Amino acid sequence: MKNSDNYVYKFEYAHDNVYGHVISLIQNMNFPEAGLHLDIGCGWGAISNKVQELGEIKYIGIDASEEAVNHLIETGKEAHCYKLGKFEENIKFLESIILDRKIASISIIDILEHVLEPEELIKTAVELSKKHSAPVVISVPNFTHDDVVLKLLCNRFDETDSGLLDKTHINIFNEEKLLTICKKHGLYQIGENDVIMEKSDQHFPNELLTLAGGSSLSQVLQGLRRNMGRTGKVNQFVRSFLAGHPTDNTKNVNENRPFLSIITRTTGNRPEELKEIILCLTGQECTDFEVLVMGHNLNLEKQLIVEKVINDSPEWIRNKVKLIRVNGGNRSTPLNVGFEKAQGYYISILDDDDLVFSNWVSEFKELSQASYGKILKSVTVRQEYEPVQTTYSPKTSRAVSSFLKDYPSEYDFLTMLHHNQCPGLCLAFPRSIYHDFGLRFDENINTIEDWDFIVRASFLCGVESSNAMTSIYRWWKKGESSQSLHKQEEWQENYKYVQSKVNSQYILLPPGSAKKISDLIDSVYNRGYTHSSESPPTYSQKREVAHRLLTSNSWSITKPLRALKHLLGGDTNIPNIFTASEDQLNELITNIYNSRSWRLTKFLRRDTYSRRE
Amino acid sequence: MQTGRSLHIQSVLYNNDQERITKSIKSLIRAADFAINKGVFFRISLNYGDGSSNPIFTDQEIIKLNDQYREYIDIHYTHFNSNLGSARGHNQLASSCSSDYILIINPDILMAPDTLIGLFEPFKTNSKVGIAEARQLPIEHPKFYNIKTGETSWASTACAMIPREVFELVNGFDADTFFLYCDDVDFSWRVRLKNYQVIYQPSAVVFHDKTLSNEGSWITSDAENYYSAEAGLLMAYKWSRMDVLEGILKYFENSNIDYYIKAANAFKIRKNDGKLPEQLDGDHKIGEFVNNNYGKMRFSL
Repeated sequence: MKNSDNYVYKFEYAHDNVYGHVISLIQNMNFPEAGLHLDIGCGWGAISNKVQELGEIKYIGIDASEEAVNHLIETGKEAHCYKLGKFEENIKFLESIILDRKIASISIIDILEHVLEPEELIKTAVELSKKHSAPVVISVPNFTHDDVVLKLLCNRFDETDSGLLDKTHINIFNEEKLLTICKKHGLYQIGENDVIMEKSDQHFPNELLTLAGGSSLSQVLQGLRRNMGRTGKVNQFVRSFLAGHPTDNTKNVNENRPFLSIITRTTGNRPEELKEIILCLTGQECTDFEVLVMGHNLNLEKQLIVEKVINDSPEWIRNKVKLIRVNGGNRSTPLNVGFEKAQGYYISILDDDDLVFSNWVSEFKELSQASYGKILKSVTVRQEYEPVQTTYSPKTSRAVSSFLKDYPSEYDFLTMLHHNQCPGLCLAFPRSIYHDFGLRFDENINTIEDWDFIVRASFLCGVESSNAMTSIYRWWKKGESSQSLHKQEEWQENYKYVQSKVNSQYILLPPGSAKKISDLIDSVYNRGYTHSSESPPTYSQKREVAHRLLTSNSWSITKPLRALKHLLGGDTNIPNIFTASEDQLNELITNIYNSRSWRLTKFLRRDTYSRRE
Repeated sequence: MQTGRSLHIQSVLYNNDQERITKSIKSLIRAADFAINKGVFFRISLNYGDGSSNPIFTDQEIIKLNDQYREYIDIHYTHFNSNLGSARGHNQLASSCSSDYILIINPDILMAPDTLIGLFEPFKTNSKVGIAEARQLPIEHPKFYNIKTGETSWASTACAMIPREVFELVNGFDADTFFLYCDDVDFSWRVRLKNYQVIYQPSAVVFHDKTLSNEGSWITSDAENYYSAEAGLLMAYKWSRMDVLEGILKYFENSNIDYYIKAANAFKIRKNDGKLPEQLDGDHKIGEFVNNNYGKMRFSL
């Protein structure tokens, strides 16, 4: 036997390397245990012995390396030297060696990345698979392993003699590319057993910050990569296929995708309101949208009701609306399914009891043209509604309050960490945040699922805001709503859960945030005083500030609110400021600044109340 | 099932966008299709009267629309050659009507598929219904209505259905007094003077494209403010509320807002010229003036 110590691809079989994974896949398929196993690009024949242990299997190796083939022959295996080429030539050669024997299985292990025309080889495998009903196991190295990606971010591209970035590779693969070309020629995946490597052969140098596990940068990027999909740690994709009818996915790309996908959740309990929202969509200035009505847990009766509302609408809008039934899960589930199915470049949530003005879609589109990729935000007002049913009408609804501008025009990243200021309908999310970055609505919670998603998405996308009023968030004073369906305790628990979740992660804040945080800290340290020097305010200055606070317009205006809500806390006394001690003044000033009514009336004040806001 | 009942839909145009009217027609077609299929109406016509100086539609365009939609409705278009205003325009359109019911609409409203069916509902069982009004979206009208009977003080003619007999009984709108605003309030109250009810139908919805300011408030133009102020004075006079009239006039005269002053002057000129309308409802049974509104409101906009 020729000494082969210098042969680069002389790899040994191990149960946890690619060869072990290939054998395991073949073993688990329960295919005929007799016939040939064709190992195309067999190299040193690492699986040759193990294959023959699977049953009445005869191993045949094919490789371009005469040296490797001779080695196999010398060990008593059938092997043939052949350099893979065009489909017709491949088939002609393979048939000449197979003759009338039956193929039980085929393997193509780490070969596609080396051949000049990988699709010709796939076609060859399809032909043989079809003819012999034989499964094909293919493995390729994953070019999108985290190690490769995180090094590319730092302009590092380190080719090696073998491994993920073997310098002889002439094709690179990720999962999508492998599956796409296989489908294109008619190979359909039936199993998988990928080789996972937390640290691949590309995990060097250790000092590189994107690789060094302890660095914040590495943790942020690894966190993002984890959400993106399950293939970041895959070293080699090991998949089994069977031949079928070719499907050219590359030709199925929908080039007429709408700008906006509108996700409308319904449980079928509000047919009148669903009718109203479809009517509002009929009135949109910009009609570049699709509507996915997510029928959640619909029984047949409710399904028919929802279908009727959709089918009744004029043809042009009806053609834009799809009913998608979702069973099980909670309020997050239909959102996840809807986002998954959405074709639009942007996605917005419009529940079956929301209302929108004619500019709702067009404002989003206009914002996207200036700031594509950001979350788009317009303004919604709150209006209180209650159910109504007159002698002549079915159960429907009526507004019982004026428009309440409870939600700010600008998206405030810091305030959003504290509480949600954005009903879902005032936002449109780039589809990529779900489809490429893997952000999901958290199905562990049944309320404030939108807040959780918005906050996490906003850190990645940023937010572009418009002052335009585009929608009405109906707030049900009576009747069923998420407010009435869930207990206060559940809301509070979920609130803590989301805060804790956000707190456990790295957050990315936009420019301007550092100053806001600095100002917040400043106000805490200085108890709300603006000062031009480093010296702390004097006792008399504090008394003056307390006096001005207590006599300010905004404080007076909200007096009833204060009295009602005890916003200063039950124990807080309002002292006589001219006799109060310095500690009492400190406490009073701090309590006023921290009170809800002071924050709510920020817009009424000028700078003179000494707080930096 | 009753057969043979007919509906005459009418709308007064003034410099409207043709595309929006066409969109409105498409929604009407669907609603008409449903109403005809349900046997609510047998025949439906759509009648536009255009007060714009340049016609919005050509004859060819109307022929094309009729070719497209004849299966459901007949579309008629008249160019008025002058801006007649809302009240006179509607009277003129109604003068050629021989249908059983008249539906008055704003040219840009969009109907839900069941709106015509819903609007007809009160007439099915109650012969004393004089007007049935649709609910506007997304900005719902704030006026009060009885949540059991649907009865209300007056109906907005953004979308309201009226039996032709009732329209003729009250001689239509008071076009000599009202040009743009309050013609519908006055009309509703005169219908009620004849012992008919005005019914608000909350499930019969129409999309009426309105927008809010960035602060979330209602946006009105100076022209709207003027005609609304002028109509306010005339309403107070016509409905025999001299106390209200006096209060408004005083407020307008002392105001520094141009359209208020202009409205007060126009009222005085009309009075001097003897062109004020005949006064009605001397015992104040119908006309409701509550907090500067016509009738009670559920909330303010």
